[in-house]
Amino acid sequence: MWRTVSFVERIEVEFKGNLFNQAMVLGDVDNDQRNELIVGNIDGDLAVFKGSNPVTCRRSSGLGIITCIGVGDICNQGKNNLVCLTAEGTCYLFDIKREGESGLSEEDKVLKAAYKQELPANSKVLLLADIDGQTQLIVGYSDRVIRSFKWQMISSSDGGEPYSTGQIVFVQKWKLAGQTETITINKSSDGRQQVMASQPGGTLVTLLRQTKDGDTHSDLSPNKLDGNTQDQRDTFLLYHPLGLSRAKNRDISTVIVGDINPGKEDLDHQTYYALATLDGTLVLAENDKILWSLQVDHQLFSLSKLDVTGNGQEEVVCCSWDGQTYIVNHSREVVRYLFQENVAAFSGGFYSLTEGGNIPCFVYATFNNTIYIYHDIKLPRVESTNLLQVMDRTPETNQLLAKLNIDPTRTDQLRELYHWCLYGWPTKS
Amino acid sequence: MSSDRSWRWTDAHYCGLTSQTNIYGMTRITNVNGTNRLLVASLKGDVVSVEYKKIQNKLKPCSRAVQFTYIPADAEIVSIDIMNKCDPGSGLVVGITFIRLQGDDNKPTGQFLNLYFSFEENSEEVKQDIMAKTIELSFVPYQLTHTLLVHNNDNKESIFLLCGSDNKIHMYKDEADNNFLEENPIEYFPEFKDCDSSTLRLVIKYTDNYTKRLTAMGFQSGTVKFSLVDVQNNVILKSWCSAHGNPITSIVIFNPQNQVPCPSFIESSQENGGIDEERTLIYHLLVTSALMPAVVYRNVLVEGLEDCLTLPNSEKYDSPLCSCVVDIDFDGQNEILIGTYGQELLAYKYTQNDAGSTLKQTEDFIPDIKKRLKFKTLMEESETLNLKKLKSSLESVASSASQSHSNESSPDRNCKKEGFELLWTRSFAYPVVGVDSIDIMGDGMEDLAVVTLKGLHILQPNLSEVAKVCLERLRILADTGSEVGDAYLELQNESLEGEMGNISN
Repeated sequence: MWRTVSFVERIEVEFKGNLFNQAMVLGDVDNDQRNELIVGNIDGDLAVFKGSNPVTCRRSSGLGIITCIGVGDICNQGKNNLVCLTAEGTCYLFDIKREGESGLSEEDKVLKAAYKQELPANSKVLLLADIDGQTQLIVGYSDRVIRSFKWQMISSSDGGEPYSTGQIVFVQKWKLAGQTETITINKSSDGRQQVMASQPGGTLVTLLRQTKDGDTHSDLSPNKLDGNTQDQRDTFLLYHPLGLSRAKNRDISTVIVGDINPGKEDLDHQTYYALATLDGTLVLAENDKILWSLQVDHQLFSLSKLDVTGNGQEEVVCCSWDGQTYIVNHSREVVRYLFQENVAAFSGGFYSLTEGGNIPCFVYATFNNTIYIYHDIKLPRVESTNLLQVMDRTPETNQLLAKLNIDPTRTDQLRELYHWCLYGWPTKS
Repeated sequence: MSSDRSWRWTDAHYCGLTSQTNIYGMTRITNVNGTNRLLVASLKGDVVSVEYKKIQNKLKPCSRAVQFTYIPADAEIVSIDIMNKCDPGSGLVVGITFIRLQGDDNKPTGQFLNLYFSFEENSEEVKQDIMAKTIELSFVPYQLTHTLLVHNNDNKESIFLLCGSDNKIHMYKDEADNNFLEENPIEYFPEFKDCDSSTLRLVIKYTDNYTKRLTAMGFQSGTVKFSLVDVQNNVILKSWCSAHGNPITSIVIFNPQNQVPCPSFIESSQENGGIDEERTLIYHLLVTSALMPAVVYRNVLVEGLEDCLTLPNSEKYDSPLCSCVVDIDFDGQNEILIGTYGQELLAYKYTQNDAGSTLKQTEDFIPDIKKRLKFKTLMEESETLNLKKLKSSLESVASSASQSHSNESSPDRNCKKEGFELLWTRSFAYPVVGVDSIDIMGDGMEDLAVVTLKGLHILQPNLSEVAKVCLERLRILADTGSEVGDAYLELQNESLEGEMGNISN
């Protein structure tokens, strides 16, 4: 029997239209160190929500079918941009200014794309990742292709806006066997960042980069890449079967999240990654080794990592279409939360309510034009425990008990002792 | 030392219900091995049992539906109660009242009390359907509770008490072999006589080694009746009444200070290691009503229902429906928790501050006294006159608002601000209909059980913080306890323990 909790404190915001799971992200788009919620729908509406304000702080419309959104330093200028991709293939970059003292005018609230470029159509998932010191835009397409792009300055003149002097250039292309639902980065055992993409049936593939060590970025011009043969490109894939005995359905949709902080003191330690399938398998793995797996009878479609307990370890957070949310720690202890509605999109991450900074939040988009931000989700711990166990794990307890001539295995005596310590302790009156 | 810690209570577990429950829907039972269990009944007839079990050395919440037979599908459960029979080995009795609505068929409609017996001493589960008895009721049932009957030869007997819409309290007594029959309760409980409306809440507490009984009754009419009864001679020693003018939703009889005897295996040389005997005689009465702020009548056995403090703003979150008294910050003083229909749990703490805002506090208090509380003292009519006099001047009201335990008129009484302060509020997803403190984890710490319309929450504070407090105190104990225990103190502890053992409800 798994522990269940109930979250109550939430912000309710209105956002009309259908949206993709990849088109709802938490990130700091205006570079004020406080995260915002950015959502885009298939009608081309883009909205930014900030703080506890239930009204959109900035919005844009008529962009196309927004399939995925990312927040990152795409132009390598030391600040975050908002990247928005549509099914038609348009890539929008937004440069969002910080909110001034006087607040936003009505004009400021309408977002205008700082840069726009046509890329291949039918994108469904994007990842902004820092690869070898430069941010790359890695996009998964519905034709089982993944392409990576980067920002390139055309002229080196440092006057004027970078958006008028640069462009997005193609870097590399991978052709995969199955549909990719999510792309993630993960730190491998050699301490390098690797890009992973989910594959059907609870498997994943590592996307190997074409550049050799020592190659400079200028070598990655599109022209040079075009000269490569198809076969060569295919070898830049490394499939991981991840022997999931439970994965009965080889075509089942799978999502992945990597770079899960194991909370170990060694900072160079490789990170964990987690996979979830639509038939209810959730797996935590490290370097092709399954740490644990669990099976639920709900359709898991969205996967996040979030340190819910504040202990330095990032928990795996997984949500199903019917709102069942699982928070699982690294020792496979589970807390459930049932969101009472069907979920169109889910995201677990950090969001800033007030001046207090970013706090862990769960964001649920429903099919009723409403998005709920749950901001009071911090739990002291994932597992169920009681005072006896917590005291038992404290080394000092046994010394003190020995001093008091109490047998630490006598739970009835401990119970009585702790009860008296907490409630019968003589206080000054 | 612990007062500056912020105790944040979070969900240890949540158990959803299939249909809504009400203010009489939660009951508790102590298992044979000393662990506790909660039962929550919901309207459509499902009863869920929640407890914690150790499975593979891991503590797991264990909630499951308990099937009770002979409850028709179209019945709606009103109240549930569970009790241990006094004879060892005779097991548990579960009582469930329900109303059968007009169905499609021609089955009888009406109200019923079902009793379920299970005989096993070490029954881990409520045995289902071992034996059941159905009693048809001629009234609409309200709260179902149980208490002890103390016979002259010191024999005790568990009985059910059921409050009814016929302005009576009904008693069900085991005549022989689980043959529970209704008996006239007035013979045993003279304080149940002359109820002017339906009793919504009944609380009974025995004191002084079962020679005295405190009975508090809250009526639909808004009357609160508090009686002190001599159990042996079966006479009412004293009785007090106060009118709140709106239905009473909950009542708690409590001691302001926590009283836990020192465990016998601790050789404590702590000063004041025991319990101040005078404190045990102080009883406060917490009353919540549907429309007014909750009120604490202080030291009721001495002051009657005169010395009262309101819990500020407790009516601002829709009707207060339930309440509980427990020490939530481990400072030895009891705090008050109130659950409201407005989906909030309110925690109040008694504070005594030197403050300049006494006057403002007093102004707030005057309308409370004037409008809301019409004291009706049965025993001492003169007190009412006293109250009128008090109302006449602001200063004297201030003294009544902050009346200390005795009537000593210390010169600085107006500089002292004492009263209940709202410590924190916690929101829930549905109206809060029940709250209780129960050591459901089996670790000696009281957890909170909060029932909302749709589910049961078990709340725990951050255990790392609790463990710190516990360690701090163990350290003191280990440092001082190494000395040879004071024989006198030990003796005192023992005698107090005996006394504590006798206080039960």
